[in-house]
Parts: sequence; structure tokens; C-alpha cells
Amino acid sequence: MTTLTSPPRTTHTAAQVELAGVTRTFGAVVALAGVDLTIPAGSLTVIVGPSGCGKSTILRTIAGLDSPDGGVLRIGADDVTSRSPGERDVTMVFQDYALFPHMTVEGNISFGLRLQARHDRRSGPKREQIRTRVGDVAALLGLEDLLGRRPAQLSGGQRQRVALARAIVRRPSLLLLDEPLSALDPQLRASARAEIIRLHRELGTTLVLVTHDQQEALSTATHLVVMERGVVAQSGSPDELYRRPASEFVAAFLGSPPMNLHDRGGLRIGWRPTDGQLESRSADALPIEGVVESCEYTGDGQHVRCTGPDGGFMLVQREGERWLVPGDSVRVAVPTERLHRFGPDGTRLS
Amino acid sequence: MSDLSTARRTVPLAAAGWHLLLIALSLVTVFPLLWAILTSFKPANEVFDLAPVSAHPTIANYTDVLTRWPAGELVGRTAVMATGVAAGQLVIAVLAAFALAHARRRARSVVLLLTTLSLAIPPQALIVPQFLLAARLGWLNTEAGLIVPQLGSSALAVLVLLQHVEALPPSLTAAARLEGARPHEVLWHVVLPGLRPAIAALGVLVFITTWNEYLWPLLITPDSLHTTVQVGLAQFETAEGINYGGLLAAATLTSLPIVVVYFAASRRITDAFLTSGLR
Repeated sequence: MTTLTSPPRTTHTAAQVELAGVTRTFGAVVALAGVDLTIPAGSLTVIVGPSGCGKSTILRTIAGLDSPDGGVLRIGADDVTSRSPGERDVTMVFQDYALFPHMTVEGNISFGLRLQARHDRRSGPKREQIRTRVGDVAALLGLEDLLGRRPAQLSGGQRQRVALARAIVRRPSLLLLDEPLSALDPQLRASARAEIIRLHRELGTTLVLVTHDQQEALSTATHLVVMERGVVAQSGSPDELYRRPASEFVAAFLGSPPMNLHDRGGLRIGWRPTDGQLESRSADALPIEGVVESCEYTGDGQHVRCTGPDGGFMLVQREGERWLVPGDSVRVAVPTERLHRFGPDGTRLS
Repeated sequence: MSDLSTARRTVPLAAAGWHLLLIALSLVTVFPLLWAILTSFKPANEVFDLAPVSAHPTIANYTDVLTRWPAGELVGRTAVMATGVAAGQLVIAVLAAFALAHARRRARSVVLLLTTLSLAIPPQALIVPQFLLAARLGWLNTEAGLIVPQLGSSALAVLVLLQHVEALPPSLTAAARLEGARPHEVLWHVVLPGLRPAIAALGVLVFITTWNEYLWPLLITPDSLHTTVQVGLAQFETAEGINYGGLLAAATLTSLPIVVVYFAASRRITDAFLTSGLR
């Protein structure tokens, strides 16, 4: 309703999104088992988790493409739980970009605006306005020379930019991105990620991105949400989640190489591979012993896989630190303040 | 080396075998048509001669057909019927397929089952009540009588188009809905353009099938001037016997439009059948 009756906005507004007790099952499969989540207005929120954790269902629920079995969804101040997708002031970039193959780039970008104009002749955008807005967005994303082309004549990176352009030209208060980088080759991925971060900063809109790639999540998000089997495992700033994971699951999921975990006196003790120190004599540290099994050269150092009485663990050695080869004995000291302790149920103990 | 050369030789040999078989089969198919066309140029007393080409070729049969048989009216009538039925069935099939593709699973399977079952009912089984109904509506000898009852057999068109609707990426529909498109706009702007090749092929198929329809036009248009080509051809069977020369000349003439339609769209027809796995 807001999109159709409010006067045309010149800038994006950023909406807060709130999910309360949202559930969804598909047959016997529980996709969302009561999700409580607040996405701050203006944030770049990344929802991350292993496949099947419900992250895509959350995105589709926010978009209105899937309706929850229970719970409430609010965008801004409005309860939109039963509102149709077109009335939510939300746009989305799909994993396969979902460009309309028979329309030109310009036709794709202007599609939503042309519909608005037709639905509401009085306060909808005028033909002139549509043209300037499409032109502005095309300039923002470097698509000026491609406006006359069809999607089949574009490269993967260009298609993604057209999909982004189509999503932002309507100046939504909420922009959803479903695995936007997964279809791109690795070289393009870094620049596309930078592009998304730049767009978020320039538009100031709330942006929600779903990915299964924890590295992408850590490096992109201003607000990070980790999902596990249909519930939110933890949400907060990336730094907070990385430094103080609320559960063993979050601890093991974020970070590459992943956190080392050992059983010690009925508890689970974790430490990051970068936090272990060789040849440290500090008394205030946990000693771990082992033998080097294999080493991976990473250019600026090595990832060392070791086995010991406490089980296997990984160690990251930087350039200039001791160079290890398979068969070396190591004694690692982990400073106590860098240790993570988890109870038998996996929750963090402080 | 010897392995390689035999392998190389067997592949074209197998292909040649296939081609010979296909050539033989197409000769079997083409022969009666060719014979009919050749016979249509024979004078009446030579119709049963075994010589393929007449000793005294004549176009008398054709001038006869064009002057004494209402070829123009019949072809026009048939074209109107075939176009109407094709257009009508396509409208029904597009709407039904779009609705079915977005229906809940249970409703969808029930409707699909009924649609498929309707294919198992021979049209002749329903022809008497259908005729009585049409006659009571005053549809004898009318276009409505020729077209509307034949729209009831849209099941095949629905099933074919449903397959094509479901082959479209679901994200396209989702994207259109998010852009604010209402259901009819999703259908018109997104689904329909994606169905264009299928619609063209199906249209041609229904057109040709309807063109060749015999039983229903025979019943609903008892007036020999207001009937279709196929029924009109039966008028060459007279009390003095069958006028084969005239019949074959008329058949040759009236199948020209359909041959033209088929050749204009043959690429699309084969494409559509290959992709939908029909026939």
C-alpha cells in the first residue's frame, strides 16, 4: 500500500525488519523452528548457515514469496505477515538473477516502475521520471552501454548488475540478495562483493544477504546472523560472533581454518588456529602437544595440521615464524584469554 | 589401425542403413498422395489404369471442381472453424496451465487426473447429447455450432502447455510478483512470452487436426453449402458412383492451405513435439 499511495520518494528509506516466532514446515521438514530476529534499519545483514538451515526460507518469507505457518513479520512499523510481495516495498536479487529473457536491459530495469505507473496513473512515476531513474541507476552500475541488450547477450557479472539495478531502481526500503555471488567465478566475486558494499553505503537502504560462505559473510556484514537447523544460533556484529561465539556450532562454523576443539574435563575447549603460539613460556596459557601431520603453503605462511593426545588441531604459522615440516613435534600455548569454553550442550560458558 | 578404420566405416554404414529404411518408409507414405495427385489429372475412363501418368492428361477435373463445387465457401468455412477452435483451445489451455502451475498440490493433482481421464473418453461417446444440446441452442449450420463444442477437447493442449509453464524458471514469476505485478500481469508480461514457441506449435497442431475433423461437422452442418471441406468432399460420392477424378482434384486443392501452414511452421512443430515428448 505504501508504495502505491505515497508520493514518489527521492531517496531510499531504510526499514527495520522484525521476525517473531516465525515457523514454517514443508511436509515433514521443519525449515523454520521459531525464528526471532531483528534486522537493524540501514544495516547490511548477512544470514549465513549450512545448507538446509532455513536461511533461504527466511529471505522468501521476508519477500512474501512464502508464507509462514506461524509468527509475525514486521517491516518498519507495519505487520506485513499477510501482505502480498508487491505491497511490501521490498525488492530482491535472485540467485539465478531472474532477468526477463524477452525484455531488454532497460525493459528489465524499468519493469516495476512501469507497473507502478499503470497501477496508479495519478501518483505513479511519469514516463520522463522512469527514464531518468533508469538512467541514474544504469550510470551507478555502469550499464549505460548495455541498455538495449537482452539478458542472453550479457556476461554473468553484467547480468548480476542488471539484477541489482532492477532491484534498486524502485528505491525499496529493504533489499534482499539471495546468494548473489555464488554464480560468479572467483575473480569476479571479490569485485562484486565490493560493489554490493559500495551500493549499500551509497543507498543507505537496509540490505539482507543470504550466503552459505562464512568468509563472505564475515567480510561483508555489518550485522551477522548465523542459522542452525531452523533457528537463529547467534546474531550480532561479525567481530562479536567471531570473538565470542555463543555456541560450539557458531564457533566451528565461522573462521577458516575452523576453530580447534578439544574435550577437557567434561567441557569443550576451543581456540582459533591463529591464537596458538609456539615456543611460548607464558604460564597463563593452555598447553597443547602434537606432531605435525601435513602442511599447506598459503603464500604468506602455512596451515599446519597436527595430531596429538587431545585430538587433531590446526595451526596457522605466519611468515617469519618457525617453519614446520611433517614429523616435527610441536608444543602450542594458547593464552587463557583466547580460549573458548563450551558446556556439554554446546553453549558458551564465560 | 585396423580397429580405427573399421570403426570409421561402420558408423556411416549404420547411418546409411537408417537412411535407406527412412527413405523406404517415406516412399510408402508419399506413394498414395502422389498417386492421388497423378490420378486427379486423368480423364474419367483412365482412373483405374495402372499407368501412373495418364496418356491424355487433363485439367478437366479441376475446372469441374472449381465451377460446380463450392470450394471457396467450404475452404473459408473450414478455415474459420479451424482458426476458432485453435484460438479458443489456446486461450483455455494458457489460462488452465497457468492456474494449475500455481495451484495447491492436491487441487492440482485432482484437476490433472480429470484432465488426463477426459483424453480416454472417445469423442463419439458424447456426440449424441452434444448434438442435441447444440441443436436446441439453434447452432445447426452455424460457426458457433462448429467451434464451441470442439473447445471441450482442450485436454491435450492444457497438458502440453502445463509442461511448458512448469519448465519456466520459478524465480521469473517470483521476481515479477516482487516487482508488484498482479497475477494477470505475471501471465501477460512474463509467462506468455516464455510460452510463445509452444503456443505457435500447438496452435498449428490444433488447426490441422480441426481442419481434418469429419464426424462433428457432418452432424452439425447438414446443409451441404454451409459445411466444411472434409464433409463437402463426400458430395463426390453420387448415386452413379464415386467421381474419383473430381474427388481427388478437390482433395488436392483443399489440402493446399494445410500444406502451406505445415511447411511454414514445420520447424516449430517438430521442436515443440521433441521438447514435450508427445506422439
